[in-house]
Amino acid sequence: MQAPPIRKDGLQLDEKRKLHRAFWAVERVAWVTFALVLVLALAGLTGSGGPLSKVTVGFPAGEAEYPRVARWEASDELLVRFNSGAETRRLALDHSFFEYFEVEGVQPEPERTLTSHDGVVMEFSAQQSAPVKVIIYLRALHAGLVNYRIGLDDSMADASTMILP
Amino acid sequence: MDSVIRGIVIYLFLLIVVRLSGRRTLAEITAFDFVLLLIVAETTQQALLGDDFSLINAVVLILTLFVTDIALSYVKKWSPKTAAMIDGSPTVLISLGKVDQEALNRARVDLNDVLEAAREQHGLERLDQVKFAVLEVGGNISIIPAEQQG
Repeated sequence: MQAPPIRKDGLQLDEKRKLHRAFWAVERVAWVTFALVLVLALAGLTGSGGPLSKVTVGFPAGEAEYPRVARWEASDELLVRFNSGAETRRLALDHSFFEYFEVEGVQPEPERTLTSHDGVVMEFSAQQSAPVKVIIYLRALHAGLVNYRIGLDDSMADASTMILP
Repeated sequence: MDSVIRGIVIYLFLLIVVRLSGRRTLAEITAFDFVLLLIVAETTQQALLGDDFSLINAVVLILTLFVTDIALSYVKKWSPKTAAMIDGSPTVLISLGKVDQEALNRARVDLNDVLEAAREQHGLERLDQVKFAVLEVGGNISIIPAEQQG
């Protein structure tokens, strides 16, 4: 360990002013970055609520609202609304969905659950063809980007969710 | 595996955030800083443990944190440049009685803080009695008084 040099003013101290200046600049940039992260979080891009945290896709039979950004081991929701018009409504989700999400509950409970080649189909019955609203309570099992397909009755749509660690 | 990655990520993240938030944050623990410290500790604990409360998880995590700490101390020893980045180096705020306004502003130190340190350490009354004031790595200000006249 070398002793620090003696400065012109007589103080024996290694100040590294150049490094300080660089650090002070980095520090200010970091504070702005911290603030930006907060803005992104408020917008919903870090998951757990916020205007941008959900995506809504329309289908002939209704619409589905799935999380754009979810958090690993945190709860989330997939909301499906079927328009009025049929007694039996079918919601299909493919295998990759279940690889990344654990279904903690479905509200209302499906009348039947079928396994198909592509994934799982849940059937809900509607009294007098009334509109049906289904909420699936999810919990993300792994972090990463997951692409899956959501199907309402006969039409399918691609969806993707970023699961943050 | 998870616990080790969590431990290292949280350790490095805290190190970076605390370092970038400025040294002054660490210098004087006010009531507010204390609350902040408690909240950060609680949040960190949850992020570290997740919902795995097993004994082995705690053991692995504690070992991870200690090993990271030891490894970092070796890195600092081998590379003085890294050490300066991680710990910082002292900042001279007053040199030969001359106030360095840039250093004060950038390091977020007030002349009142310098005067407080001067009073506490040497019972000095005025700024002109301060020869040197240095913001140390730990965030405290050390004062070297001017030679007494007469």
